Amino acid sequence: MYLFGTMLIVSGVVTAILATIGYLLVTLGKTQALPYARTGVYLALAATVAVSASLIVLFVSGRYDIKYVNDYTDNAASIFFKVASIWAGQPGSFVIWTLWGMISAALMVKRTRQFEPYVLSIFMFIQAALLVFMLVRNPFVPNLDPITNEVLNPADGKGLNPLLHNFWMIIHPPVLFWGFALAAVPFAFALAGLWRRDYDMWVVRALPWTIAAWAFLGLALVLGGYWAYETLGWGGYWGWDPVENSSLVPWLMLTALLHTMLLQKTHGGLRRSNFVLAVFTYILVFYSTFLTRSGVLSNFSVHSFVEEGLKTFLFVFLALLIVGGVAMIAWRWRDIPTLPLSDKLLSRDSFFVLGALTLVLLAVIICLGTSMPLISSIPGVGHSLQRIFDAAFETTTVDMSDPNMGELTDGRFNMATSFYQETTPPLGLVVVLLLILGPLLGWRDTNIRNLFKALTWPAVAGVVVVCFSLVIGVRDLISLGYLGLGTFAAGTNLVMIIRTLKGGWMRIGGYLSHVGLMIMFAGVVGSSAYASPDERLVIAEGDTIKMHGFGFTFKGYEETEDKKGYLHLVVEHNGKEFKADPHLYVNERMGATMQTPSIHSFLWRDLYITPVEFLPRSDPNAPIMAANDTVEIGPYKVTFVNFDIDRQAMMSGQLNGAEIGAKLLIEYEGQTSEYIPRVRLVMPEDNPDSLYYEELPVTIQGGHKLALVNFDPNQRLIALKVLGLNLPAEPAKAIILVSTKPAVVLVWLGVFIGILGGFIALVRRYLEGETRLKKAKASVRRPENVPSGAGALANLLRTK
Amino acid sequence: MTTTPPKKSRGFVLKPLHIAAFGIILLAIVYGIFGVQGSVRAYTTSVAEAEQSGRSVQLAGFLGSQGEYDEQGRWTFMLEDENGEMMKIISNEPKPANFEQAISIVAIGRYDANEGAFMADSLLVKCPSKYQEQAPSSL
Repeated sequence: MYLFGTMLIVSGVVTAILATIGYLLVTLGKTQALPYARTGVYLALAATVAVSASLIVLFVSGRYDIKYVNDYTDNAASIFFKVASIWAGQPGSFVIWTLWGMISAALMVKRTRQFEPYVLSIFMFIQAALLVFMLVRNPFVPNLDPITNEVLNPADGKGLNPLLHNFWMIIHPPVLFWGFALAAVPFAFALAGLWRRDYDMWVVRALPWTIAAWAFLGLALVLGGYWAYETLGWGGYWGWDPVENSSLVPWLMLTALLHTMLLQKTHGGLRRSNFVLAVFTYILVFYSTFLTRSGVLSNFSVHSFVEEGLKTFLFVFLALLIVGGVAMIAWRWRDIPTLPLSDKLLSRDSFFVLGALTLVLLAVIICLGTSMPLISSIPGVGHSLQRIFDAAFETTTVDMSDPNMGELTDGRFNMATSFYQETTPPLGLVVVLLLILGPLLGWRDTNIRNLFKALTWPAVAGVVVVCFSLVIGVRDLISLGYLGLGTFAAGTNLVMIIRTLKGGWMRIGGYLSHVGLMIMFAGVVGSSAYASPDERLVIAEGDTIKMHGFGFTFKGYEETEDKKGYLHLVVEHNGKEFKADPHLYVNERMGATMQTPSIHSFLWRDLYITPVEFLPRSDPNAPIMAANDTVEIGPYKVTFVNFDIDRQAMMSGQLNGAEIGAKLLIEYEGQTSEYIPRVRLVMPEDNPDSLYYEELPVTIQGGHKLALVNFDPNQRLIALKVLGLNLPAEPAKAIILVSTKPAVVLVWLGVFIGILGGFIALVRRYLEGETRLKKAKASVRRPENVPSGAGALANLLRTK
Repeated sequence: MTTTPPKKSRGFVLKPLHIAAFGIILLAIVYGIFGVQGSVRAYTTSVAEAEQSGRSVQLAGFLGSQGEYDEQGRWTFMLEDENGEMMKIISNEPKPANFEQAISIVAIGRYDANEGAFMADSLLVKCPSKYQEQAPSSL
């Protein structure tokens, strides 16, 4: 299998290189190479499909003699998870990334016309590189015994990490890799445009692909956030973790890029900016891959990847992309005809530029912050930066008159989440401001009077929302800004939706996305800035505690059918009752505590319950103590000092009658005395196996008896019992964290609408592209009409 | 694509667009600087350094004890650094998932002399080679 699989990958590399070189020859004029190049593309696709299919077969049939299969799945997994485990680890994630790219390449063969050899030679080169990574992190490596080097074939695999064992694991990675794969398309088109000296047509061709990349990458980010919120239990959906950030950065660039591409397509201009943006977007996609897979951030990220041998390859390819991309832009820089920026501030031209600028600034800030561990690891840089920061701000409470005091040996540092929480909201607010006016403006110029007429109702809506927010207690200025200005912007975009709907539903894509974004911002303001702080509740079994208008009753610790324990809670609110069962159990195989939150969504807020701990019923009369523990038993304070073992008897082998005691210090009414309750080992000579311990209790201050009931000398634990006190037993207790997340449903709703808008725009631009292709083929001249509504689809079907 | 003929370049002309763009860049820089303030977490693998530096740090070490919840419900455990020194860590968040399996732990926060312990804002739990997802501090 190893040989077969590796041969498949190698054939993929070879055919991808064949395609690259074939297309290269075509660009040099040797058109006879075209069929070879195209065959190369299809063969490479076939090879990648074969690799994927092989992996599916291996995973589903439980071939644990393959290391990758053994590490990530087991017999108990359902078929969905067996397949999903393919992308649980690095090797498999490269496989689906490459597969999606190959499918894109095959689709591009027929759809790129004159660009085909240029775009595809670059694109297939990237695919070849991905296949080389796949070779380095070969998924078919056999499961070898580390010492004997024999192939192991265990009956069962190690299984997927239980934290990954949920629905989101099945869809989040594939969607993310679609985004990554598609992001290479505008990159390849940009370089092709530079190469061919065709500085405008590439934008028209690449626009639908760019929108698709944007939509998939955005969807992947949302899925990751929802996964975190619903499964992980820390109550949020975005942690500003380096892995999250490094996918957000290229997405922000893609957002800027699709707007500037639209500008160039519709109105001309921004040629150089588009080249720079397209090239850097993919560089940042690859940089994100580098950060997550190379292990450089393993001490700084929650998604802690340890370096797995790919660092050099990734770094080299990243450097190649940067050098190649920048070189090509520099080569043609002077050749590109430029248009001056718009003179009128109140025009779409200007607003698109400002919007793109803001998005790029956001991307730069987040990228810099995320890269700080990397930047500060360059010798000297870290310490210098820290010194500058120390001088500029107060970072330490130590006396700074001694410059060497307080400086750490390791120069590296990380930016805490507070950095992102401070720097991004103001820029986001700028985006909102631009979205208020932008959509209403004409491309070149605007009729001011019409503009103000259109602004009236949205402005009123914005003011209403601000007043409402003040009434319900929102005081933070930035939050009010987002809510008020966001409503204003949503309003103007709704106005535009109504206006353009007459021309067909397909024109509303962009405006709909803007509305979705505003709704999402409202949700973020509510669920982040105004989430109630986590309240820690300790509920005894059968008891009820009231909080935030809810009554929480703990019914007991129960188990589901598949042995997953949960805290059975009943929550009462406004007269209605519902169950809340946050999971909390120990996964024996992993030796880890598993927990999932219980989320109950009401209209305007979520009730979020995180399980913390379950304390089983305990008897305070009979504590279990470890060495040096102190326990309070009623009026006594007992400290377990040490064992007192009759060593002589132990050594001589005369075990019968040997006594083992526990040395205790007991404090009672201010006085401390030492007591040693013992047990005597009784071993009848005729039947040594029926040995038992005879308790020898002691009488302690206050008149009660204290007995040593059990002991474990290896773990140094003892079990005591105090007789006569009869302290009441402590009932079982559930400890949970409770918080409410206002308006969090708006986050999901807003994102859904936003991505829906993206897909509508995608359909529109795709159909435009198809019409253009048909127009180029047909000899009859057709008016350059933008298709609208279902009519376009009908047209398409008719002309086929 | 465009119908206007390319204008002859008359040198740099300041447009309202430039002013607006400059304003946005200025906003980004100002807030960027404010953002850095108080957000730097220096990295160290030494308990002694974390204690003496008096600043917010990222302390990387190994699991030194099983950990437990204290009376106020805070998760506490002992962190051992590469020199074998122990430091008590107190975290406001519940026990992170996969805590028991951690081969190393990074605590982000600051040493508090009054408590005699390192107050962690968040904990990064590192587990052996497999891709693991842990609970970070919340948004």
